[in-house]
Amino acid sequence: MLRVVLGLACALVLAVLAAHPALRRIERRLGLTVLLSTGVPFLALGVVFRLPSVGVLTDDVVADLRPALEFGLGWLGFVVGMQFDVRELDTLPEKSGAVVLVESVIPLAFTAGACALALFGLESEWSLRDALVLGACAAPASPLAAVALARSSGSHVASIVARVTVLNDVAGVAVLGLVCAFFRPTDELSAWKLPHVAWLFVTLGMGVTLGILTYVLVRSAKGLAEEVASLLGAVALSAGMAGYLAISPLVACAVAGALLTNLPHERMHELRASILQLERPLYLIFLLVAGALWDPTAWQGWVLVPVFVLSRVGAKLLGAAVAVRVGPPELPDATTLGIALSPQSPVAIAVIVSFSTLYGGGNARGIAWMTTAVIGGAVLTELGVQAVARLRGGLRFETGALPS
Amino acid sequence: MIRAAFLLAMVVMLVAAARSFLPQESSLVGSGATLAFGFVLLAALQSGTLFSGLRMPRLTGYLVCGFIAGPSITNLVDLKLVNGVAIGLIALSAGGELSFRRIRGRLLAILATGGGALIAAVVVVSVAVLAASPLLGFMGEMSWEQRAVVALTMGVVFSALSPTVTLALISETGAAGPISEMSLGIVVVGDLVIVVAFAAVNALASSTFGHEDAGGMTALLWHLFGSIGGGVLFALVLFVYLKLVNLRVPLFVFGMCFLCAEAGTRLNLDPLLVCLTAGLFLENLTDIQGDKLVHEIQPAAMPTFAVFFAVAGAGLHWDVFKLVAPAAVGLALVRAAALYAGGRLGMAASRVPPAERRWLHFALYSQSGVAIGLAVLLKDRFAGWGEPASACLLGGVMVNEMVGPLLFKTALARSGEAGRRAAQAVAH
Repeated sequence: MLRVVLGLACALVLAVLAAHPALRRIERRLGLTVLLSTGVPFLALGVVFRLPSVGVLTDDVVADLRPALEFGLGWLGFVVGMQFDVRELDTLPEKSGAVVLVESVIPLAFTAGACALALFGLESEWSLRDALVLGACAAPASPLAAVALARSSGSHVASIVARVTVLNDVAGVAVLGLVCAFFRPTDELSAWKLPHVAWLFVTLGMGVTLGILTYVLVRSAKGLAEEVASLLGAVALSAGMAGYLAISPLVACAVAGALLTNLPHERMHELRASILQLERPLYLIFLLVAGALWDPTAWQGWVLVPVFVLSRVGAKLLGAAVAVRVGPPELPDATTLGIALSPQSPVAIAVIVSFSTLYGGGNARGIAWMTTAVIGGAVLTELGVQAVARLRGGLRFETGALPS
Repeated sequence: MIRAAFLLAMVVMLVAAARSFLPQESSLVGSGATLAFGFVLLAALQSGTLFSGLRMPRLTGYLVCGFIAGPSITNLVDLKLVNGVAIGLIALSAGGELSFRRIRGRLLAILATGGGALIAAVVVVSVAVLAASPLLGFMGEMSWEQRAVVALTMGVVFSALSPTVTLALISETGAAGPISEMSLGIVVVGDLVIVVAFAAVNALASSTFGHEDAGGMTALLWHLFGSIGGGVLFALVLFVYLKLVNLRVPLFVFGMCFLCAEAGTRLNLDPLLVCLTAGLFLENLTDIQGDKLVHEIQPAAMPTFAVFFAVAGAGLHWDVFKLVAPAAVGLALVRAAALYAGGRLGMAASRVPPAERRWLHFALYSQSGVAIGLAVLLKDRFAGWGEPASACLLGGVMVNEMVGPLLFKTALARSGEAGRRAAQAVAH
């Protein structure tokens, strides 16, 4: 037990230190992103902690950490939702909606289709649910796209692309919400017998109610300490309630966060900053647990990786080609835009982890392959895109402040 | 207040609606714990606001909220984590607030008042228990020697004070001044003495009742000096972190307190002593100002305190209290009278100014974590008499836990120290 405590404490200290500005400066100098510089080591740490000979993240510990994992998913849901500020979206130039649409729908459809075929080939039975979730993981694009384009194409383009990536994240989470409503996890015990579409309303209604509750709580808080306490409570309640009803905490909290950010509050920027402040350490701890839940030993998962990466990147490039035709004239050329939007968003990993915690009991083997595809795909895509971008010149992916 | 009542009702209704999803008899795991944690935190915060509106301590609101929500929540929230971190944060804050430079002139008064109160409480409560032993069923068949040992053990446990409540109330009321500083000093030193005294009476009771006392004196010395050493190590880590990194301090301190609580318990160290030493070391031996650190960790401390006290309230079982109510109330009254008399004697001997004497003793009546922890230890260690003795003690703690904070908050307000911290900050 002492080993478990020390291991987890070390991980927490590392997660806090990994968010240090000095490390960010090194990342920038080396042209690395958070996924490669600290994300992969934390994933690997999770896998190592899981090994029986190390015995830190044992089955019991992982089960004990489930509430913390749900809390982390809820927090990331709030992060995603709070970026969905309608007032900011209103400032986008005309036809930007088309860019969002093609950059979400084309990768989603292509990846879902290609992965469905691959899953069929691997296991002769495939499910629409699994294909859709892999599609949902393909839609989100890393916010680094905007940083990469800021130098070559200017801050205006970067600002448009930043909003596009936010909406790509939202699209991925929305598809997960649909999957959770229409492909319910087994709930024979449940006292509620509702049609699938009703679950969609439950998800939305719960998100809206919790968003209002969070809003009233943070508005009535006196001082930072009470605000943080209220926020923690609201996230825990939202994530717990969603998990309890077998709805993804990521989805319910994203709805709550989106509502919260669009309601008037004079200290909304500080509130957003409070939420974002914990994003990186939480994300790293989250990757640690994801690493422990991940079974990278099945070869089928690694077969799925190239299918996922090629279909997703191909679809992003195709989407960029369409976007340049139908979108605002300020956009850069299709290849540059496509490459910039190719790296995966951390939200994709959150989506697959949320999915695996909800549906892990059933087709667990298939879900393990999907997890390998998404996590392995994120690393492979980033390495590939970094290499191509350096060879082509013009784009430089590095951690930095996003244009406002 | 209306807003707090509305929010409390909303939280309760939402959780009730969610609970209807699964049949009542089904067990709640995983998400149930996250849901319960969110519920406890939000409900406690709103109850605190409601009680604050009624001019009562927020802390009483947290306790009452937990008490009403009942034992059903105690099985859902990971209490060990919350309790361990809360005790660590409270001890670190108490140490960080205790500047020897500031209290140098009052050290004698602190020792005399605390010493007088504790000696009186241990003696009077022990004698009272011994005198009442023919009426207490669980002591009926014991020899007088055994009764005396049990009475002394109960006297020591029931004399425990409460740094957690004292610090939480000083923080809540924004109090500053001689009464606040002396109160904190008395309860911190007093609880240290009680922890050591408990180890001694525990050894005595073990030998009297033929139990094996693993480790004996060596274990006690390791417990004390190991904890102090661990505290110095913790302080050094924190010092280096604050000097070199100084980012996300509440999160880092939270994690370190978790480590102290979990690893410390397994290494037979006292997390309270470890964190207290760390706070004292930082405040008194480094250039880091403890009160600034306390202010910085406030965002992490508030939710932890709310859950900690709500969970403590949920641990107070009405069913048990009903059975031991007369004994518990009697014990609480005897303890209060002894603390008052001993404390006043100590204050008179050390020439505490009359204006301070009037209010200082109100800091002594509250009880919480340490008393509960020691009472539970009794139950676990001594089969037979441990359980009924623990029930009597916990009943008394329940009375002190509900009444003590109310009295101390009133004393801080009446003495004029409440709110003085903000005024001092403005003046600076």
